[in-house]
Amino acid sequence: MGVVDDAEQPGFITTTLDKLLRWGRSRSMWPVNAGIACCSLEMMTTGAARYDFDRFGIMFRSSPRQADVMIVPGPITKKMAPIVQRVYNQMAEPRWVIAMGSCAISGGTFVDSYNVLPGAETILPVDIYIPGCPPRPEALLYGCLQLKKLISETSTIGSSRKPMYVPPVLPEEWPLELLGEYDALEAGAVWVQPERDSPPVTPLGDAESAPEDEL
Amino acid sequence: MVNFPRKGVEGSTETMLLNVGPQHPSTHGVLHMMCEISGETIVSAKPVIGYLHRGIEKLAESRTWQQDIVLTDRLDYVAQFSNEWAYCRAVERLAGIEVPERAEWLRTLLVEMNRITSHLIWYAGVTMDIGALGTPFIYAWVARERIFDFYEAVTGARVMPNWMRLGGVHTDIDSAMLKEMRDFLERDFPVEVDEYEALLVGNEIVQSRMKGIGVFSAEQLVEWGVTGPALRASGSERDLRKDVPYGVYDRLDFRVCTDDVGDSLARCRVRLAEIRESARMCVQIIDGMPGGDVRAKVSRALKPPVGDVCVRTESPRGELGVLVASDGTTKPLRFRVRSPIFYNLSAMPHMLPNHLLADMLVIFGGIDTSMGEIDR
Repeated sequence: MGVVDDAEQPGFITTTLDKLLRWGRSRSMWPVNAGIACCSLEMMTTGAARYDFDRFGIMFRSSPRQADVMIVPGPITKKMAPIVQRVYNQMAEPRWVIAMGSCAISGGTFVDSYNVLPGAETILPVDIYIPGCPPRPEALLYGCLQLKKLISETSTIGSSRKPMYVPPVLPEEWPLELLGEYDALEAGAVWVQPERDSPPVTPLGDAESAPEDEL
Repeated sequence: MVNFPRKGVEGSTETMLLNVGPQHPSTHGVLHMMCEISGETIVSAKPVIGYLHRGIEKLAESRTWQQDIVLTDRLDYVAQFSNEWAYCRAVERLAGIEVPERAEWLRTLLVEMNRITSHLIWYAGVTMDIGALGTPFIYAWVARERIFDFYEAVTGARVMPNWMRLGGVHTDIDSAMLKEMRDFLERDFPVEVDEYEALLVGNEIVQSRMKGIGVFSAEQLVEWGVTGPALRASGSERDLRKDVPYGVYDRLDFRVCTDDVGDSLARCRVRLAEIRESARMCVQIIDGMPGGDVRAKVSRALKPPVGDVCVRTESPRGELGVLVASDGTTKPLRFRVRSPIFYNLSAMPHMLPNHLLADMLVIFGGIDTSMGEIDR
């Protein structure tokens, strides 16, 4: 464990190992095969012959223990939320989440439903958002390539390691199971949604004045 | 839950509870099956549903009549056109809207093509459940992608078409596209289906997994409320397209695909025969397609008279019933779906006991579930 303990002040061995890990992880993303709703059809299509996930090293695993990416393909209902979170908690670290489709981003068509969560973000730390209802297979491929870029740029050693807890949102309404030391904050702590890099919003009718190189 | 004798198997001492799902590659979505097993034998089974309940029936009451077509797409996301058509037929009958002749033919065409893609998804799913992890799945997707290209060219979307409107359809299909569809369905597609059939029914492993597994008589299935190909595989000729013709089915020459054996392999044969029959029907529809308008004039603020209407259609999974009730406003008073898979699934506690655990997924694949329509 000497190498990992040394990670606060990274030396040659640590950084080389880190580079190797990032290279390997970004080229063998294995999503967990957890179909929820309509988007899982397009997820299957992307795995089939015409679009072919396998050429990017993306292979579906049925067990969350073998997976490191979770694609959330559909609306998360109140009854499904503990299950989704449990699957996420069963995955080995480091792990990433893709919110596929409008329902997983914000609730989509069912945003005003009494039983649908307003997006996967409320219970999982989402890394990539893919809009569409459902997104085309090309869009899913593009999202996975963006995630590949993100993984290859993210160091997972030492203090830069991403916190892997799950926020306990509204525990009295949705009883969520918390498993493992990184899953939840300590008792009494308040979870604050981490700030995210979001693209600049161009106001309507003011497209000329917006900075060009931002998008 | 149905009360079965706890000691269903001779010589058993104690049983174990096994949960299959909701996250399981073989449950076709988010079904949760609680199985009480004694060794390898199922003593009782109980499906737990509701993991995908999005409240579609309630949401429909807060949207206008036209906007609800978007929600019907998402009911059974494997057979979208069937749901749209059932809803549109109900509202049209309630409001007294005349649908142009060409629109009826176009609707029937797309619904029959939808039956093909839906059965192809069943084909991919059932083979994956019994252990063929790659080949049949990728084969089925070849023909499915070709048909999805047509969907995309006609409706603009691949999975969620939202193509039918009250009083017709949104876009017409031009003759060049119809010819392309006809060429594919008449020339290329039967060759593909031959290959699929040889791969499934001709396979020795598939036969040994499916032959004689889950044999039910037509009387049993009718008693349990099972409809669709699962019922027709037991010898019943119940098919709403023949019994209560709607659309242009009364002007088409087709046969109801049945089988007498009633086991899991018979259900496979019936579905594969239905794929061929649907392709034949599509060719007939394209040949007999009349000209004219595709959409009647319907007010956006449609206010059907007070009353309620229930229609039945034959969806790829069975009898799909839709009830709409109006109180004379622009929004439905009640929208209710009689989902075929819900009734097929509720026969599972009767079907599964005294079968092996490995046969559960074979029987389960035989009724072809889609959780979106069960949970709504």
